[in-house]
Amino acid sequence: MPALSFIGVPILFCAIGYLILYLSVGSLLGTAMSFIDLAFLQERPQHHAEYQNIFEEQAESRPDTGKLKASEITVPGFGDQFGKLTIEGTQVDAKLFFGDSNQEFKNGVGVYNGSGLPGYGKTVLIGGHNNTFFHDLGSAREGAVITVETNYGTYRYEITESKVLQATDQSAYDLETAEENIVLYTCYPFDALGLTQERYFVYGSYLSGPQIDLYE
Amino acid sequence: MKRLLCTLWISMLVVLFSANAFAAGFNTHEQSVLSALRSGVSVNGTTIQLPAQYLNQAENYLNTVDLTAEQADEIIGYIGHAKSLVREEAQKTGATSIAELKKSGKTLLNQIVSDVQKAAAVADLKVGYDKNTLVGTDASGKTVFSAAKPIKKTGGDWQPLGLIASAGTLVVLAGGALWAARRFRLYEEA
Amino acid sequence: MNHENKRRAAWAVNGIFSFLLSFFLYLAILCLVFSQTILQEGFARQILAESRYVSLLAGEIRDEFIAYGGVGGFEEAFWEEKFSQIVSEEMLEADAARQLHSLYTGTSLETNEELVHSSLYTAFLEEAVRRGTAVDADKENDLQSLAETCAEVYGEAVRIPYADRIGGLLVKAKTPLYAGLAVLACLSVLCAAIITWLNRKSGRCLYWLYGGLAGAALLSAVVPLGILFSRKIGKIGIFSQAMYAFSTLLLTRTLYAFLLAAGILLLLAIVLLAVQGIRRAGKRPPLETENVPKG
Repeated sequence: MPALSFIGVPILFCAIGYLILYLSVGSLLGTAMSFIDLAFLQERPQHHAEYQNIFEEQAESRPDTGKLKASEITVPGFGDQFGKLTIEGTQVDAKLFFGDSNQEFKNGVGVYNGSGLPGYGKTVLIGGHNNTFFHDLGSAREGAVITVETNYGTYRYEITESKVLQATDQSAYDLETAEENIVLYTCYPFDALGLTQERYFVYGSYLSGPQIDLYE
Repeated sequence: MKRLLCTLWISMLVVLFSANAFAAGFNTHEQSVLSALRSGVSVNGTTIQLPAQYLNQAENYLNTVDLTAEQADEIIGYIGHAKSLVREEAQKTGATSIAELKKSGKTLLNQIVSDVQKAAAVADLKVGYDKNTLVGTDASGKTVFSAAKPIKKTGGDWQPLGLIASAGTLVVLAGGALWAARRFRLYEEA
Repeated sequence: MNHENKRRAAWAVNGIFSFLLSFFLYLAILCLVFSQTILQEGFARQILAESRYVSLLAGEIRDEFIAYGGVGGFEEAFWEEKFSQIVSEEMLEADAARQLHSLYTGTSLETNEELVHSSLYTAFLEEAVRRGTAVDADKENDLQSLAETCAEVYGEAVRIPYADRIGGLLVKAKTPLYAGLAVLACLSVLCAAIITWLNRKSGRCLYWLYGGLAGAALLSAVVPLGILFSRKIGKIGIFSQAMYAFSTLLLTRTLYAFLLAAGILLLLAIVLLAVQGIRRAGKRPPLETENVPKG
């Protein structure tokens, strides 16, 4: 009995066995594998509250005028800190994130990812908690300047109006407008106990900041 | 603070977009995709449009990726298919808006989700669950969108013929071997 | 059929039955391992304990309560005092065990969501009174709204996603797996018996049995080893840390079970080989020197 057959025979059986399985249930396996593959990432999922800070990483050029090509800027991903927001005459000074889940609100204020980013020429809708970063939003007055520093530019908006509306009131914001503007919101009343249906909205019109050409 | 709006429709359509490299801005292929999304579905004397926040999410994500011509063509194909499903349903029910379409049940939703699943498999986006919330993630696990409703999986197209053929072959093989062993008295071989 | 052809045919026939033995044994191992791991509620409970599922889940729920509570005026200090009273680890363990049971029986069991809701509302109300806040009807609604939101978070956290569908599959899979195991075990024994009958004169029975066992061991080990070395399991896209810990440990332990089965088969195969070797050594003809006349 050749010694190699003691290793070769099991290997041969293994190969034939998998071949038969492949021929028998290969198509079902293919469907199952593509389904299973959807459940797997290329890296381990992150379960801890870490975020990428592209604002600090790109501290150099942050122009406040002119035009920028989209290809020249680093666009933030969901959950990235990409800026800082301050409001003149208030204590509002918060890290600015792209995305508005609990995670972003825990660390700062967040841009709704269904709205635009500063410079896109659309409505920029930003939310934050009333007991932390937006606790002093009520002190924002008409004519005060909202400054949004981002990794690609510095933007200024002039506050035009503040009002209290229902959270479900879709007239509170206009995401279809082709004119750049900013809308900040938080829960109202500021010292509310419990979850209320009202929100405090602050509206600002665009003053300055580089416009992004998304098609270049 | 809860999110103001996040529906399944846009999350599914955002999932359609895929990329292999990062380059901000829209190339011509992405512009084609966006045009397909913006054009809406003309039916029942009106045009059913994708709400602005969904287009924005699509644009925000497309702005971080680069589509190839092949990817864009495939995606536009899925958009076209989804639109035809919407048109068909709207013609059947007389719906003139997305809100009205949602009332007609989950069949349409499931069909559109099926298109999204296939597109996601081609793209680098994964569709998973955070508790019962649909979450779309990129290859590194970073969330690119989230939805309020869970997603249904598509079924397989397995034919049992392969299994029957293999089992049959094994039976024939074993039977043939046994017959040969008895016929030629192979058990007498030392 | 001449002698040489007969020998070759005997080898071929033995090879076929040895392969069939390895294949049926492998399929039987598949049925056995799945039926004793993933399909066993006891196994899942053990994994639940080892993966620290309950304490991780408590942490996640607490973080969510702090996030929503913060918006509603109830800071982290409030939760440090109240959380473990409202959501105790015993309650979470009971809910987790109940949900697991419902998964394995295909039934739908309630969670303690209502209890959490009422406990939360009471705690919020007491805190409001302690702070001297006037609690009118509107305020009560706001507190109820917050309690309801937090209770929903609790309910969603303890419920296993798609439990009704998975549970249905688990219940349906048991009978076919056990039936399959029985049939495949019988087929394996039949193959072994045929190999023994075919080789009662040649004495190579143990060699072919070894081939069957070693082949089955290799079939059982290759895929699990591949998955373990690729570290694919760690990349499963589950974002709840508790469910991630539970799922990855469950899958890993199941793969280890396959490797254990493969190890046992390999051991048996080696034993058979050793016995075959000893038998062969015992049958060797005497050395020629024994016949040389002394002189």
